[in-house]
Amino acid sequence: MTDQPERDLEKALADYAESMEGTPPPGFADWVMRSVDTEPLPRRGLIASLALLLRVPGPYRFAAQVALVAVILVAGVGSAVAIGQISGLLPDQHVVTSPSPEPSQEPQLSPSIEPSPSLAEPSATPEETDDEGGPAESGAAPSEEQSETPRPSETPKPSETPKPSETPEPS
Amino acid sequence: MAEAAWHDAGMDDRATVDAVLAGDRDAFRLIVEQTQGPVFRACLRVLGSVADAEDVAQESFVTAFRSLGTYRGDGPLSAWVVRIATRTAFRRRSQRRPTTDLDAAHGVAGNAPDPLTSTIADERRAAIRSAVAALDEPYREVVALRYFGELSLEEVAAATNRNVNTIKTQIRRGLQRLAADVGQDVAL
Repeated sequence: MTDQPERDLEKALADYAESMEGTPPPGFADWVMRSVDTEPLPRRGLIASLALLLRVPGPYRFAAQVALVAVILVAGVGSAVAIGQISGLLPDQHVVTSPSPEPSQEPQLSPSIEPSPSLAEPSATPEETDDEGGPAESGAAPSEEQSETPRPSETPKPSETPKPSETPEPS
Repeated sequence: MAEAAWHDAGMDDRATVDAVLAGDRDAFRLIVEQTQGPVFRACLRVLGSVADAEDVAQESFVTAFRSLGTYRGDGPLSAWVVRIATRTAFRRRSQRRPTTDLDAAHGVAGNAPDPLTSTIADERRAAIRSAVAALDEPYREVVALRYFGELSLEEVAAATNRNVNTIKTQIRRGLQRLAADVGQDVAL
């Protein structure tokens, strides 16, 4: 603390602390203990336990540290294996969600079965992509209804087309 | 006194904490009796109000009891509790209305000779409290522990798990920021 302003501040803080002297009121400890008595007993935390383990005196200190490292390694490998198993389960969940784009392929076939509307309405091809998006958002169920939907009623919703691009990631 | 008996028996902080964790609640009373003075004064210097300081000191001890299992024994237990108290006091201070600060300061050091001098002293104390409370972390914590909590540099370092040189640097920067914020108003 070489600067004068800092020395002045140090002195000001010391003076302030001196001017704010005080003692807790009589019976303060009893007051605290009445509150503490209602609390459950605390338990030693994990980090504190590890720190205590590392404080083992004498020749056992190194052994304790080695044991601690071994425990951490085993825990790390175990958790990695567990995470791997969990992640192995995840594709099954993706398979569950993937059926939603699959039924959307069926409507692609249905317009081709009916060539007359596609010829009559050149906009039928974009309608097919729209129909793919519809079920993907709302669920897999409406695939059968889409054989009826190629009729222009649902198709002119271009706002739905960008959404299916998010869902089809089957692999 | 029971406190002296514990010291005569060579009980250190770690052993006291172990006793509490083993179910001896009376051991925690010894912790309270040993540390209530600095804890209360740290709260009083942060808050400026005796009533608030009593309340926050009590709350701090309850928090310390709950957290006693996390005490690692790296430094004095009193410094660990004072750190909890300053944090709790700053949190309480941030939650209350700022207008109570100056009013609460009245009566703390009631030895002023006349009302004008008393008012000026109150304003100066309130300015110091506000300036320290307005510091960013970690400067606020180390400045408060050092000057409000009556801790040495080594105790601040142990309580915050930093080395002494880091604490010196942080206190110096904290004072520089204080000087920039309040400057001559505080240093009168």
